[in-house]
Amino acid sequence: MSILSAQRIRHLMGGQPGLGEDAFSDLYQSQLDRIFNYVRYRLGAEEAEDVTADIFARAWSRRQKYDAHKGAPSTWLWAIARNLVTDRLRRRSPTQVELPADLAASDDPSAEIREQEEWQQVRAALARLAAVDQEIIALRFGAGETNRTIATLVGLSEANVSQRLRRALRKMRTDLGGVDTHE
Amino acid sequence: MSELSDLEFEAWLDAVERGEKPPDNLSGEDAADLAMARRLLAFRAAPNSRLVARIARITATPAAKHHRIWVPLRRRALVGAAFIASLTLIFSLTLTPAGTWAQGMLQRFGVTFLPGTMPQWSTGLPEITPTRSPVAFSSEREVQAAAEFPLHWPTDFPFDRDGVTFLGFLAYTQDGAWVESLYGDEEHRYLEVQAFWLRRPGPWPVGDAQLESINVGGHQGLWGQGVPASFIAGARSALIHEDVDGTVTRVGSSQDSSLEPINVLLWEDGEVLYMLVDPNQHYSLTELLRTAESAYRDR
Repeated sequence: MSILSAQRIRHLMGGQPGLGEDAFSDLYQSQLDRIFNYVRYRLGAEEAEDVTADIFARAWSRRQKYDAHKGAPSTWLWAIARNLVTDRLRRRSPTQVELPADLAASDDPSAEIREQEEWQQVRAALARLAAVDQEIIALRFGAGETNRTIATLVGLSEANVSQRLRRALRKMRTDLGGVDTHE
Repeated sequence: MSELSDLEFEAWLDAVERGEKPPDNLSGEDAADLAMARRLLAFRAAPNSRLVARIARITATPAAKHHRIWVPLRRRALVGAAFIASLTLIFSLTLTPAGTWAQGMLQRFGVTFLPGTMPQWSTGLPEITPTRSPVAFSSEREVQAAAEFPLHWPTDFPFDRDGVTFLGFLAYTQDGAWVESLYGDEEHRYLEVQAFWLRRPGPWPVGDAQLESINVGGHQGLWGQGVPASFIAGARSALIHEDVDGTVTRVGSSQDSSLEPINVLLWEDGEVLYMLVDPNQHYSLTELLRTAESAYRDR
């Protein structure tokens, strides 16, 4: 008696034939900065390193399951990244606030404190956006993805992403009490 | 000054990202939006050397085994009936006032349990012989088409359905049928929806402080929080051995099985018992209730 055939499990898990080590290395080189910053914007600086490492660990352990027929390696990696981030967010209590521990070190402690405070304010404003808008902002400004790529990742049209992005920016700056346009 | 179109704004976002300065003749709103964008871009950071070294260590190791959850799922349908029995046994043993209910549940599935007798894992759980082999499906529609009784599928989940895989199982027992559907990704089970077709509906006594009688969309139900359960909540060790010819035998002892708390919402609709199982206790009663009632609201 068999419930799921091995073939079906492979299908559910992403199929064959996998991602070679060279291809994985290329993927790592091109995506590390993007993934790291996406995680930073979504979860905060405190968790960014651990979660980014987890994302690449998970991708590495599953690289044999990558199926080129289902999309580019970067799309596959982003699915892993977004799932892991979503899972972390889900486990997080609504009131949990992370501290920006890894902002660039500064010789001027007061400047660093100011920068940390501003980062906290921006993240707080970001956290008040709808979940999909937080995702769009993190992908656009953290990861530096294009609206077209974001549209593919979040399952919206490119036009919708553009509109949401602009509305989200406006909401954030209203929330933050205006932004100095001459900074 | 009129505002930029979305396309023009996107072009200026790209320009700002490249470090270019927007022109002075932009509208106040556009200029402020771009300033907000510049402010967001300022928080980008480069991964530190520690992270790079960590990933280098990871990729220097052979690929780990991947099937931590979905392969056990193959076993899960096989032990679905056993789970029902084990859950009710646990209810019976740990939540004494719910014992009547637990026995009622067992009896519905043709299982007799003597209260006060500890289950002996090594002797095996009460088995329910399927009258047909369980069948797996990959969509709710497929399951509904195969099931002989109406199923209510929730539409409002406390998680993003993007990236979530659905797996459904249907099997018939001597006394009815069970459908088990799982929503999760390759690593996690977010939620499980189970429906049991009961040919012999009986009384529905409910429990004590740890169990709460609840109304689910106008139907009598039960909320259990932190209910210790096996199988469904991650018995990590090998409890079921499946031979290549498909023969399934129970192995291991009680020491091999870890009971882990789960949250479960049950309700009865006609002759069907529905269960919404939160194997990781992520969700509140409010969230699960909303999910359960969406099955009725959005029909």
